[in-house]
Amino acid sequence: MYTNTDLMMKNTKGASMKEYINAISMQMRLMINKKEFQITYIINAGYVLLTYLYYVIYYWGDDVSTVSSSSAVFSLLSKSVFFDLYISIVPFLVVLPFAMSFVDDKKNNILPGLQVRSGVKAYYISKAVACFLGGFFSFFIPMMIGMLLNVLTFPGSGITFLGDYFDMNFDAAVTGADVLIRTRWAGLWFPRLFISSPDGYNILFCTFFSIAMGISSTFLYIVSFFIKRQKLLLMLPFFLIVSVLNIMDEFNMEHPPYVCFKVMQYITVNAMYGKDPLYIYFFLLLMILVSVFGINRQIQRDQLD
Amino acid sequence: MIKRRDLLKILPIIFITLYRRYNLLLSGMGRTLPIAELFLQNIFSGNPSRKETKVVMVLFGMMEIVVFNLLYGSLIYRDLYESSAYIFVRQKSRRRWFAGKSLELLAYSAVYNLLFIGITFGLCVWRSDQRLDAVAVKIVILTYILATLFTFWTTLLINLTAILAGAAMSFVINYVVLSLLSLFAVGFETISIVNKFPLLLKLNPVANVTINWKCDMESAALSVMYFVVLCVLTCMGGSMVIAHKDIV
Repeated sequence: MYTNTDLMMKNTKGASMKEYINAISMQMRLMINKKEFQITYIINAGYVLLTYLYYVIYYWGDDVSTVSSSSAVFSLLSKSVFFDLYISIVPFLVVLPFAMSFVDDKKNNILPGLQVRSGVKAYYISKAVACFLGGFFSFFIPMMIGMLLNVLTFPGSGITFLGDYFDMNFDAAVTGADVLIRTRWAGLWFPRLFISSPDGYNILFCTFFSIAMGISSTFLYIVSFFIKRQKLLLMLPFFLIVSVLNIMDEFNMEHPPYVCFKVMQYITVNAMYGKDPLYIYFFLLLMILVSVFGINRQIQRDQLD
Repeated sequence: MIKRRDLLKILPIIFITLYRRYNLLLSGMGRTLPIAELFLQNIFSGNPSRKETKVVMVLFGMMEIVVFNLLYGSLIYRDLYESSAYIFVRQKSRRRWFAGKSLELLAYSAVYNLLFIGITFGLCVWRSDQRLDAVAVKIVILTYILATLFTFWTTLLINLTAILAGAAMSFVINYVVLSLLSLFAVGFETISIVNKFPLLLKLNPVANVTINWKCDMESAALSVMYFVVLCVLTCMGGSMVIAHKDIV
């Protein structure tokens, strides 16, 4: 049984690794039982299943030589039938898994209790880790299940999302030779992986996408330190960031050399030109740095002296 | 009661509208176009053809409406969730309270859309070399009324759905439904389940609010009547829900 002095000592001495792991597993259990995480998972799984069923019905009865390969019907492909609809709700979905948990803890007045049990530092860090893992897995697992269904159902034909391997425009699409706008970045990223294994290429981008969603979820958790009461306002920041960057992209299109500012184009499967690797690294790094500083600042504020 | 904090939330629309209309601010494009046409090109998705546009463009065109949904999506729900016992002890008639809050929400929507449509129209008048005519004035008034009613209606629905599912979930549900309505409007001719019933297109709120897709003023005026009826029905339904809601 802890005394008050023990609890204060625990807070100032800091938690051990075992206590961090316990705090993280507690937060993960909390997250998995929340309906927001479950709804995010269901929406992602529903989208993947809907895309899969659409293409099964679309190609039903067709000759196998005309059916697209499993990689060309992947749900994270920009040309996928319901992709436009899905990508427009992703900026709101990324908030749901666990980013609002701090606001919930404050509203329910259980924040002091949780901080005393696990320690202030362990509380904030474990929540950030849970946010990242929740954001990651709620997107990664459904997408991988979709990929598995595609691989089991669709043939291993040479028909990729850029067309047939023997198509006369295939090489130009892979290398970016068909891009007419002035830009320094044309052609696919990781072209060798794409040519040797289009499914492996999709798995790589699925991982990128899920990592980006995890980082965004953690970033929004930090934003929740400032939005103390209205949970709904937490849906605004990421949506505004994505929209502002999309508008900047339109402006940039008229001022070559073109750099793609649409963040979603970097982390989904497409043949978009103008994708500067430094841009997406900087974007994600900025979110990580803001998250780290935000957590540190909040820990300093709440730490018992 | 209108609070200063809620009123100040309207201000971001000024910056959002100016940012989105950068083409009018920075470039000299559109000088020879009539003001009405320039305005229609810059409002909502700007695409005059329902059949040739994409869902993502329609949703991108509704960005201002989505921002209002997020800013005021818990206006009524918050009071109900946090202090319903206090409120309903003082105000015996829940329906009257709900009617008052709905009018407050409508007022916020009116001011918000006045800024949004007003700034866009002002920039169009400034940029165009053509004179302001009666057609442009009619279009902007109709657009303002449609936008105000649509914004009010979607936000009211979010507030009411939040009673069942929480604010965040209700917004996501409403946004998914809005996306599906946009998909049905844009792909009406290609989706076999939907295109057998022309009434579904006429009753689609997204098809009614997008004034760019209208071929004449009369159909836009009919859309105004449609949204008035929709808002009244939603308010009536909402007051019944509030009247039977357990006090927290």
